[in-house]
Amino acid sequence: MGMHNKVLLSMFFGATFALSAAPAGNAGADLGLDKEYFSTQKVIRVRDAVGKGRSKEIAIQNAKIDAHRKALERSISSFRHMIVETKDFAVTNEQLIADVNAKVIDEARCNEPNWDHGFNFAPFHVAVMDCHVTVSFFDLDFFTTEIMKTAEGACIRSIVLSGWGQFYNQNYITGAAMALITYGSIGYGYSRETKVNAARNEYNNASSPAEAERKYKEMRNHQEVARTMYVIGALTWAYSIWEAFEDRERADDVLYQVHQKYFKGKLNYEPQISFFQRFMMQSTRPKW
Amino acid sequence: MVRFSFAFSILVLAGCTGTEMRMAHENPLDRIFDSGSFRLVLTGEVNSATVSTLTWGSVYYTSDTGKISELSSEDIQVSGTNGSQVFYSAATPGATDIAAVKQGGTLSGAFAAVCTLTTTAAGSCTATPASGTGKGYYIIRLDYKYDNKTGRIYSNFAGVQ
Repeated sequence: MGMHNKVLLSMFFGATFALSAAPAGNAGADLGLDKEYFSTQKVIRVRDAVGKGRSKEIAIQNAKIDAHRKALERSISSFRHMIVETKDFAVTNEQLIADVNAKVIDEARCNEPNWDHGFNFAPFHVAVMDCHVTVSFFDLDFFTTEIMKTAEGACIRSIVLSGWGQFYNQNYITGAAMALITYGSIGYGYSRETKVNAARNEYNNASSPAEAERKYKEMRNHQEVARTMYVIGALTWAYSIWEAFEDRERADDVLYQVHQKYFKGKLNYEPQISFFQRFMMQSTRPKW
Repeated sequence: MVRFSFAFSILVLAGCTGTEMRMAHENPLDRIFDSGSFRLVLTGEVNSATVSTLTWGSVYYTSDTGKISELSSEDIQVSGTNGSQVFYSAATPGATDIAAVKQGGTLSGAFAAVCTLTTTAAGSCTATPASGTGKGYYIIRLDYKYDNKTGRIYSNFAGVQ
């Protein structure tokens, strides 16, 4: 009985220096690139853009084309995977495939070309140029980091510390706002609550009806502001937990689309819905 | 998401307005005074150089669960011949009288009875103190029997100036 398998034997990422040095990507940013997820941009310097032509203008143009090609090669996120086919336990075919997921998004900006190479290329002109090229590419580091994250992880972080889950989801402004509101409210509430006892003593020691009434209002004000602040803090904390989970869910949807677009059949990614996620989705979402 | 944010905002506002909490009025000089679990509010105004009118509301009771109920005269029975009276003093109540009110004890000799309440329902009386002026401090003392328990409650001191 013959056995014919197409096995994804191994896969590895060929991230260049530019990729590893790239800042954390902001997934989902609309760059107008046909809805591709090339969310990271980097300016690549190509010192050895070479172009040849019968006129200097053509040589310069060819040098710029060379700069674009080299910028893509040197900065891109390339995903390499090996496909091995076997029949009766014998390898019949193996291929190393490299996908390139990047685009040059503007024309190369080059310095004046160098024409003097110590060699006569006549009748051709050869231009060597130092160029800067902006490349937008799919950030593999970011993607691989993100697909490891889970909604539970975000949720639990926000349970431990309000806003932590948002930071985990790289939603820094929301996270900072959550933490600020939560702990600011609780802290201010506590500071007002510590004043209640002193205000109560002043109220009890008031020696006239007018003073007693005024002191009572002060005491009550401290206690009600404290209570209100605690309520705001608690609700914000609860919202932080819920929002961290939902935001991670949305991110997972995007990551799934990214996977389908770029890595389907090359990289296994089948997010499993855990019991916790199922509970959160079925029990905590509004029914509208 | 927008709808959830809106709902969340409503929830926060509801939470903030739901922070009304019960705090005892512990100073008898306040316009309201909680005499244990009971509350009897007394107000007074001067009528003339020698006469003041005192007005009071019903007795309210706060149960251990926080439920507040208005008590009728039958609910809170006045005990003793002079079980419920309005007392008057021309001078500001001192620490002894304030302590006596807080503990349900006996007022000092500076306070003299000027009215006797026949029921514990809301009512009023016109006081003409023997000192010749209606100005000063008034308070209601009420010896009660409620829920098979006896005790003494005081209203707040009503200052008439």
